[in-house]
Amino acid sequence: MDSMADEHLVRQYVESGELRLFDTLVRRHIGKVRAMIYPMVLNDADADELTQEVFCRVIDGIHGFNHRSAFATWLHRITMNTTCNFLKRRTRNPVEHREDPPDLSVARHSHPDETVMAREADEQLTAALAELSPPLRAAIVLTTIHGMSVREAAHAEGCLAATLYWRVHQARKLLRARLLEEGGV
Amino acid sequence: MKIEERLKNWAAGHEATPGHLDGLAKQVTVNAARNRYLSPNGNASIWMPFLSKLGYVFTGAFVAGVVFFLCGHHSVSQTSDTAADSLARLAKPTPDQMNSIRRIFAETTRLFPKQLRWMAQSNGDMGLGVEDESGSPVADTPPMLVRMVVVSRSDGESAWRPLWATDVVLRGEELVEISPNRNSANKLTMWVYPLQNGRVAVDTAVDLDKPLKLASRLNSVVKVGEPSEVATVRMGDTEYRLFQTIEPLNGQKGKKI
Repeated sequence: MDSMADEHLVRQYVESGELRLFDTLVRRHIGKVRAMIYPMVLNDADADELTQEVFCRVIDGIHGFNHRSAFATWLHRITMNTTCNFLKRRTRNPVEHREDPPDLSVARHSHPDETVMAREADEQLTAALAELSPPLRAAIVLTTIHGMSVREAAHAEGCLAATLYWRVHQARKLLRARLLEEGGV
Repeated sequence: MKIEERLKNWAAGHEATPGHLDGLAKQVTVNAARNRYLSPNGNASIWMPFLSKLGYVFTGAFVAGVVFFLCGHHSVSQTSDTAADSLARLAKPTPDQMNSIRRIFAETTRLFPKQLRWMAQSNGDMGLGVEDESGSPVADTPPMLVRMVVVSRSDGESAWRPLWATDVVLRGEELVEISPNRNSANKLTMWVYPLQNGRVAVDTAVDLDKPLKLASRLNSVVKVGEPSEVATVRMGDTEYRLFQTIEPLNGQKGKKI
């Protein structure tokens, strides 16, 4: 079963309803789905919750999956839609980094070892990503972190390739400026 | 370092561990199973199971007895072990319900071979007791369905209303302790042991917080498929009755004591 193509698994699952087949699909893709969500929401609890919500939507809509695109493409579209809807719901409270806030004063002056520096750099980048609007964040996450082509990322985001290209450009510019302020680039 | 490289390193540092992803995947599948098990109109919500504690010792004394305690100052009366009136029908699962539960339990067992200890549904909440892979394997003993139902009726009313209902599928000789409702402190402890001649030794403890506060304990031998009226309770102008029914999931034969 593990060697079956996604599309074959989907067809068999739709015909038989066997949860084992769905479970195989989940295990095959859950890492990528969560890795797409985390940089958008920037905290583990929301990333886990949304990951589950994505697969709930998948199982609800799988009977309507028309096989005109790859299953992974369809799944990534659902992932980004679900995440963007979540972020819209959270508009009044823009992305928060729920983990412990960085203690930069201590990190900069008292503990110049590599671990502290790495943590500081991680927190700077998290904060910089949090400042990007969701469309810009999604553009840079999909292309730079997940290595999607602009066309693939545009499909996942439901926008024109030219729009996505512009978003990537803007996101890079803003990130670079933010990190330069912090002395991180 | 370039931004692209920094982003990739950052993302790698925030990847979920394989163990975390495995837990998430299990939860997704549990949710999928739950959604099938519940009726479309069910108030679905998942509650985290806590697994049965092993090492429980059955004393062997099948003493029929019920202690029914109601918090507060309410009259409590014990009733006969077997109910003959129509109320009992509320406590007995229909053939369709049994088929559905049998199918779901079989499917869920295939998903979690040697790991599924119990499956429960209670007033819209559903839970599965799935043992960690590192834990002790689940005994291959016959699964049984235990249905517990509380019904109520006010003075002057003729119809009884189901107030709380819980189905638990557990394996014979396995002790199961569960909190069946996510938004209350309700607790159930169950142990069943199939005997010959269609009888089952059962030890159940019910400790309800909602929709009413009550605690009861039953240690008895009952006939499978025959609802037992565990107790009757009166609070003000309302009467409550607690029923319990046990059905073998696969119609298997029992053992000699």
